[in-house]
Amino acid sequence: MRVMIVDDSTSMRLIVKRTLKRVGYDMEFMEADDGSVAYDKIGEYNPELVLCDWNMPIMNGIDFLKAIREEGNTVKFGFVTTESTAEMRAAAKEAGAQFLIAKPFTEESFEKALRPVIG
Amino acid sequence: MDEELEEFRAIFLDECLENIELLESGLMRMGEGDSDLDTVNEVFRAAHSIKGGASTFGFNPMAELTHHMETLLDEMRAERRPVVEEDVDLLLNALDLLQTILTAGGDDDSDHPDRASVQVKLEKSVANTGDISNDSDAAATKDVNTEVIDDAPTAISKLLIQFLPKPEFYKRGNDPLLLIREIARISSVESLRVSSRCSDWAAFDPSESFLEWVIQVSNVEKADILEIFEWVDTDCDLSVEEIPTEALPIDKAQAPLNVEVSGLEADKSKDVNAKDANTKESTPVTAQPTQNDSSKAAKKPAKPNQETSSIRIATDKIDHLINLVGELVITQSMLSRVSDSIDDIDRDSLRERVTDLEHNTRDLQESVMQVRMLPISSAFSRLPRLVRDLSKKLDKKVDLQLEGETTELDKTVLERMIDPLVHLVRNGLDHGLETTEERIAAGKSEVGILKLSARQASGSVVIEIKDDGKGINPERILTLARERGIVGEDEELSLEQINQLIFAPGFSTAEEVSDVSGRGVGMDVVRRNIVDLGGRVTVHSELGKGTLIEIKLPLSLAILDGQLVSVAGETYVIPILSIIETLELTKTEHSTVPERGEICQFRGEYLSMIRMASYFNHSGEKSENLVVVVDTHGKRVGLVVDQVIGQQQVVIKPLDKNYKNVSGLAGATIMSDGSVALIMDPTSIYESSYVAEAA
Repeated sequence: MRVMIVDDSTSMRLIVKRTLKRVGYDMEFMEADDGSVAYDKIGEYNPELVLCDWNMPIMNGIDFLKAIREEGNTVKFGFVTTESTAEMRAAAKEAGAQFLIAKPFTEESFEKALRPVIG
Repeated sequence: MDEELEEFRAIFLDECLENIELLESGLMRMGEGDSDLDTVNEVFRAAHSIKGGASTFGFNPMAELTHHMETLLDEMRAERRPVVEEDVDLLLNALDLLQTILTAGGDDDSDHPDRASVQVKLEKSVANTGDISNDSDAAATKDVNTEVIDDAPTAISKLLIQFLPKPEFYKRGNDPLLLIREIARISSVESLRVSSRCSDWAAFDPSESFLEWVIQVSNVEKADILEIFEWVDTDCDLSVEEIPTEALPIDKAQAPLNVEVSGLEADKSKDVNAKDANTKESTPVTAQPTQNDSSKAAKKPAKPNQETSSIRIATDKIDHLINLVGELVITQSMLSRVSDSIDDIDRDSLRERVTDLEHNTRDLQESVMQVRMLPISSAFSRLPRLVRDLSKKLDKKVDLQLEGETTELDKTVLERMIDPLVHLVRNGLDHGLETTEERIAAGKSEVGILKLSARQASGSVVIEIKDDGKGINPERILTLARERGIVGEDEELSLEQINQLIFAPGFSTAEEVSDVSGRGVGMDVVRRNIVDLGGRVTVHSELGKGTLIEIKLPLSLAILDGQLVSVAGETYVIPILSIIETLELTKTEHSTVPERGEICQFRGEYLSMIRMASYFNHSGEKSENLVVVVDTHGKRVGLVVDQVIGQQQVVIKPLDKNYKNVSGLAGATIMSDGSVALIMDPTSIYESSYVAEAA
């Protein structure tokens, strides 16, 4: 499965990858350090799943998600973010996300969130 | 912890430092009255990033502290509270603490006793807005674990789930099968039926959604079923109803498992419980715009320089690359020499190629060297904070002006320049600028000006620190220097020489030694640091008008602008930055003085001379025509050589791998003819010579 990880923090991208590997998913990773970069690259990468940070310097996660949904992209999309207020979850859902994983996360939080989405 | 995680932690800590810098510069701007949303957002994001990483890596003190900072910042960026100085001060305090904790390692063991009180202050400040609804996202953090349990858990034996996805459900990459599998995983499925809501082929529209599932389950909480649908419940018509055991609504509900898949012709009268979902064939897509302040705010780039993407490379890899390119430069110039001496018909064409190679290697070398270059802004950026804190402490009004922040310097040079710069700025504020009263009395504007500028000038970088303060009083300096035995009683010094005395070891002019610029141990260290980097520092001052300190630094430590000289048939390199002038020995007045050895006259002062041939014990034939006047830690000395050959950029090769540090030499380099030339180190030559002993 092709997975795109969007986060402005290198360490966070690394730890997300590590966690997914440890859960046992067979994934091929692509990375972007900002929503704007992800938006430019998503056509080229063509991922099946996007794991995206919420707060990023140039284009935040939710704007990125809205932009690709507007273009009809049906990629599976989840947020991996530090805050997880009810409003954020509602906004994420409305914009077309399939899950939101709160940091700090565990292997279980990924398993639980991903099962209904990628099986 | 395993190695990989350790490595990620190190990367995270690096990122923390970057974020702390962003925090600091942003908070400084906010402190100066910049309450622009972009700035507040940038600061918020930096705190937020640290918090996210810290909690992930288990750095709890950092996570908690940044959480409190972030809460206050969130209030500001949502414009629920104004940006006021007290809050900025509070945040800056918290930042200092954060830095302390980070420096100590970031983990639980690095916690600081002040953290609780700083957090309480932040909390109080947040509470002061009186906005309880946004009190803190401590509640929100809890939310993570409890968010789905809106309904009290109901221990019901059976549930009927009706699930009809809307077209949006599919447009967002969802798969109904996965959800149903998840239901089956957590409950006992008693029956399941799939039906289509499309009556006939004519009504079939591939962009619409027709399939509906009706599932009866037991041994599960309603909340757990709702949780599975949490992210799709607006994209489908869903009902999850408790059903009394005695009145099961589905036909054959009691059957162990009944899967009935209907095709397009399916009988739609099968729907048993006429819920709201069943009344419509399909739901038109209505995209509801989401109003969310973070989406508004973060659209445009906060800071243009963040747009340059970068990669992290270990410095030793770059240094290796630089070294290789250095070798290539040498090979190239050797080749160039060989091509000159070839007497062949192919010679012209060979020379042409060699010239190309020369261009390419030079470009390559410049590009590779560029990798190590960093803008001086990373050193300048910490000064506004320093000036702000100091000016408060000293009760002086200061306008700090920064210029040429994009000027680039070698990473090592830059790093080693930070302390000297900080010291010079402190000094300028403490000793240079006057108090407000003194300034008014002197007819100057209330606000003192401290200006830092950086620029590139012919292969070196010039940094100037200029103030419009009281200037250096030469009489006072000279008196003090005589008192302290730095200058002899009968020694006459030029104004320039007097000014340089502020860099002499053990010199302090502050009437009272303040805790700001310390005990005068700093300025000589400042000069030593600069000279060790191959640079020079000079002072110009006008009494009552101000002081200018000029620092000249080499662009790089790996390449040196060298003056080639010959000494008894050997070629040596003298760093150009340390050379003041070259004199002809025969045209210069010189003599031998019993106490000081050989001296010569240079611009009205007497300089000690060191004959390099005897210093390096060369027995070859020598002419000793020239005196190269060099600056060594503020002392000038004349180095006697035979000839100057030319100027050349040389790649510095350290000697200490094969020899111990050899006094008088800074390293070696390979010349274009393949021979090795030694690079002189004027400072250690002076210090290890009889001249210094005599003085």
